[in-house]
Amino acid sequence: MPVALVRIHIKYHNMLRRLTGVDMQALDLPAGCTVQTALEAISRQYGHHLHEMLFSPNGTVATHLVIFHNGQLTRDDPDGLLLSEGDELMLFPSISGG
Amino acid sequence: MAGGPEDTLEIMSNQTVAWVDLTTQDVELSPLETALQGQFLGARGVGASLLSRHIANASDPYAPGNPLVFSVGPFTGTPWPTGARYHVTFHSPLTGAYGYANSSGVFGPALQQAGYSALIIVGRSEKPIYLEVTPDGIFFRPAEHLWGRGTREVHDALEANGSRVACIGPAGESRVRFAAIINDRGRAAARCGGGAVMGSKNLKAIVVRGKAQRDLPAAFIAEARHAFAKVRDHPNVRGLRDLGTVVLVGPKNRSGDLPARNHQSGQVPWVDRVDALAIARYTYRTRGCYSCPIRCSRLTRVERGPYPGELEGPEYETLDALGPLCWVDDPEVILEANRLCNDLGMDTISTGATIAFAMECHEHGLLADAELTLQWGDPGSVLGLIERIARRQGLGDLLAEGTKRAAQQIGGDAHRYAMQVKGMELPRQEPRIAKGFGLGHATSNRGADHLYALPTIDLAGNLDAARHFFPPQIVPELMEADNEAYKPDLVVLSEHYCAVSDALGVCKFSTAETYALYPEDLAIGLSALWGREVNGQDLLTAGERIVNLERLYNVRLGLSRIDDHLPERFTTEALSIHTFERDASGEVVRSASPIHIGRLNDFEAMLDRYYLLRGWDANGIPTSQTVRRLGLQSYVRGFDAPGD
Ligand code: SF4
Repeated sequence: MPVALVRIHIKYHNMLRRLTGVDMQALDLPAGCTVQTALEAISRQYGHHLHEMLFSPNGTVATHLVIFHNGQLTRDDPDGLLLSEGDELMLFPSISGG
Repeated sequence: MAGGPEDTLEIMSNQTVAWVDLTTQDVELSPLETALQGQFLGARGVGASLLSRHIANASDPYAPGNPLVFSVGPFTGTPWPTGARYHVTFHSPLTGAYGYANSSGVFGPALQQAGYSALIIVGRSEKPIYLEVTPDGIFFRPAEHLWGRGTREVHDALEANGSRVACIGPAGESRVRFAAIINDRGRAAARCGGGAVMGSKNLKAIVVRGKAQRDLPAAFIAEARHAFAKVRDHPNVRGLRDLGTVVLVGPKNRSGDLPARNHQSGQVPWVDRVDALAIARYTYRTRGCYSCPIRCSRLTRVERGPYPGELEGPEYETLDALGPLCWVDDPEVILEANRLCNDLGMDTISTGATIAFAMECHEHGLLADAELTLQWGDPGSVLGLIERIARRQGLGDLLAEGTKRAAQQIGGDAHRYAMQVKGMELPRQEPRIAKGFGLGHATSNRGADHLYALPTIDLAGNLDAARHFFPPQIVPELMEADNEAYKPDLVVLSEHYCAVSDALGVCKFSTAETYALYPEDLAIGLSALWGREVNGQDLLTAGERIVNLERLYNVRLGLSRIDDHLPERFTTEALSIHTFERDASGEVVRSASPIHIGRLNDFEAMLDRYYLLRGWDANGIPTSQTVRRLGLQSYVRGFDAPGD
């Protein structure tokens, strides 16, 4: 049976844009996927430099990744946040001050 | 908020200003003018007003009549989250213009709890002394036995029975132009050379004994508890709590914002030797300042090897200044350099930037030393120069003057390697990558400074804060780190919010760095404390008033647009940003082609817009309309503000 897919959109900012080379991309993922699934998918697509920006060495989502889900800052566990058709993720690498 | 001098509301009782004359050993006490609080809130704002009114001789930062003002804010020493900070305001020996330093810990709260809002210290003691500040009075004590001692020993000697200490080390005594004031052993009111001013007054230390917390309105305590929980639980403070400010090292290196080799580069290939995980190996405890739910401070210890010792730190700024900026990749050398700076009483940012300047001068054949190699990354040179600068020995005597004056004396192209604005060395952001910071370094009235504006919203991906403060149509461009169009808007807003934070006595890690609290949150607390309505916009206007007053001080001294510029490296040289790979032999190599080129495209356009938004003329001078709008007419003496 074919796996149902959902199409989501990801917008990259600042350093993430430089590493991916794109402002935005569409991504087809299996229905029932989470924010974590999406981050793993793009990390596979763009390789370890992006992976290092998205995940900490212990495999959890990096403290420095700021994720907006449909325009709202997400503070939830990325593994528990389900994505639906047409959802948008905005990703910022946070480096702030000093 | 009523801000004019006509405001006579009783704001807080128990707020004393002490005029302390070190020459005559007289102390005069007076209540803090309520109008002053209404206009300038406290701490930094009150300091700006007092320095502007009482400066005796602006051509000599060490003139005995010049005041050195210690001040606290209305939230200092209260249960308000991060109400830990005090402010020191003075005529800066480093910039020859407006100067201040701000620090945390428990010294400021103790000063507030002893009943003082401000100490205005003038004169010069004949012999070294220290001040003992208590609720029962201020006493002059001999300090000849402490003169020449490091700040650690001074704390050991004076920190008895719950006393809190702020003191100088040998660098302040020998008037190193970037000497710091060290309080609570490991915290520094570091910038602009306040330690040298203290040294010029023969004032070795201030010892404060507070009493129990003063009576505070129940409504305020309830609001403070609420705000405390809000900061404690905010996701933006998590990184600071878990790893301290060094959490920034790795991400900054990736994006090219980790200045290295005196800003010749924005990255190091060996970042894993000095990043947060590397420092965590030495960390044995975390610590928070007074009433702080963030607790960003780390206590580190090196057990053995050539540099054993303990330290509160390092902070990110220090780690970069004494590490990558000088190409030092050994964390134990960085910790030792940090310890030395604290003990000798020197600003780690200016110290690191001055050593990096010396190393680059050496690279170009402009500077040499008989004993030190001055080679990039040489631990002996870094540690040796710190000692020599603090005691003004050999080459240290020249470098103790700061990079601007040292470059003038060295001559040739040396000025190209002096990373300073208005005479103060740049903090540890890369203006070609962190462009808002670049503009903020240039416009800051105390010289190059990351905490004057702290424009983090774009770099931190803080879209919520951007939406809160700015019209929706400019938010997308504003959030692009590389887009210069609205960086001035970001800097103006952030400068106001930083001034508010400093004036209230709170740490910016709860405000302009993380936006765990917004101006509206602070206003709720202040309303409850003062018993009258203050809103967030009132606070931002007070912040704007403080920034303008500081600008007016400098304008009176002749500073203008030309002084709001970055070193030419940042506008004439591009910066290549790379990725790094480990090759088959384990060597880290950088990518053949850059993934980004950092450059400032049109700095002058940013400056133009910044002045426009501020209501200043094209030369960076507040117009008479701006001066009137902010109620600053009485501070405009000796020059005519340009017309509207
Ligand atoms: S955030 Fe850090 S520097 Fe600020 S008050 Fe808390 S412990 Fe001190």
